[in-house]
Amino acid sequence: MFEDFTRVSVEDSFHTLLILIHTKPIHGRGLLLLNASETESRIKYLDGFVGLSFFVNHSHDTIVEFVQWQTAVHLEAAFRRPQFNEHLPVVESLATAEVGFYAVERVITAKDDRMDMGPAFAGMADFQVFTVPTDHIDALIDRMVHWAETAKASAKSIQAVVVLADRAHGKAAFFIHHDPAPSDSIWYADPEAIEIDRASQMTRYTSVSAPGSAGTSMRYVMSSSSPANAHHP
Amino acid sequence: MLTVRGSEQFFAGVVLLDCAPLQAECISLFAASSTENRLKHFEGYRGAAFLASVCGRFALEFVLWENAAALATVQRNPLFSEHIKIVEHHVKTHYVAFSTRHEICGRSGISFTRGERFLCALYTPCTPASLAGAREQIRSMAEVETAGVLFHSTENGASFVLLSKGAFDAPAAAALSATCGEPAFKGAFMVVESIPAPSDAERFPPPYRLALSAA
Repeated sequence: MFEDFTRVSVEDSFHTLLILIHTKPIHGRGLLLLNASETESRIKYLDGFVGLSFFVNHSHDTIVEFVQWQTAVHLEAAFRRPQFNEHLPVVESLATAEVGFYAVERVITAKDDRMDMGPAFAGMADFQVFTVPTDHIDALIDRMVHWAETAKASAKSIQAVVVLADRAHGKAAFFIHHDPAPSDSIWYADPEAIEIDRASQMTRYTSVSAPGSAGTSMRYVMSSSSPANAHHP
Repeated sequence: MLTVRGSEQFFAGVVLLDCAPLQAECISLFAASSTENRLKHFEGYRGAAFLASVCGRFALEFVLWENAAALATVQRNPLFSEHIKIVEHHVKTHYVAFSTRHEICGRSGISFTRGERFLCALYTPCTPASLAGAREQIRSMAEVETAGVLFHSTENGASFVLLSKGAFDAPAAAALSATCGEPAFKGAFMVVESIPAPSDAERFPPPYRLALSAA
């Protein structure tokens, strides 16, 4: 179903965004479907799109999007296209969103330094973001990687841990991927860093990857029922 | 997850779309999003399941409305048809049938869960005798006891659709073919999304409008 697959690795250092969407539970499923549909029908055809994985928590009040574009330039160009930005006022009218720009620092798995999010990997994920002064970010990443390697070795439910960093702003994030079967969340704690976001027990809804040669974009216009706001990447 | 119970008698529709060159999953997700955000809040909506063929070409929708009058009422609302016009612009409609003639054979209900696989078979044209015979055959099939089959026919009985979670064994399939001929369409589908009716507390006004783009 779909090209339900994205790959995460340090080698493929795409322009990566983590987007946290907070909304009322009654709007969560609608926003999830809206964003997945917009990505599948239009956004994935924009130049430079690599992949997007959607995660949602049990109560449907938090959605996490793991987004990959080839470069920041591609994303900026896409942002000016109606196929990309028409749905954003709709999302804004129903939710708040936090956007972070990251690089993949480490992917800790049993096999190699990459993981595939797709049908074979349909589990749960825990998500955390920390901040420190920018000159402490390397030390924080080292501590997070060390902790992740230990946690991966000791917790059977963990399939992979992805460590991401926004070095310019002193932020580092964890994606801790568990087995499909329900398992307890596993959290990192660091007295030298401030935890600024946490989203637990997320289920991967779907992944959308860049199209191959087959397929074509849908053509339509979407307009928010609420007054439009200005948007910036 | 949508569960259709045999005891419920709604106005049910089966819509089969040929989506090429678009991917069926794209159409299914677009229709599901429109339903979740807009259609399900209309009075009389009772549920819908959106399936995409494994081959990627066909989209299948099974929709439930309280009755024909409820559907006729919402069809007069311009919001209702916005996404349908866009879908119809991009695809070819292979089959559409709305009627009260649907039945869950073998179980008390049938559920549509994301990622679940269904087999779909369309039989047309049918005579009243072959339709009645097919219905009895399906009710008596051993596989139906465990998997369940959704049987839906047009109001005049000229055609019917079977949605089953498992394949019929060879003798059962042969018996059905002897009664109704070979299916005019058959294919394997996966559930992309299913959307039950909301509670009153979950209703909200449509957050966006849709229109075909000029270009």
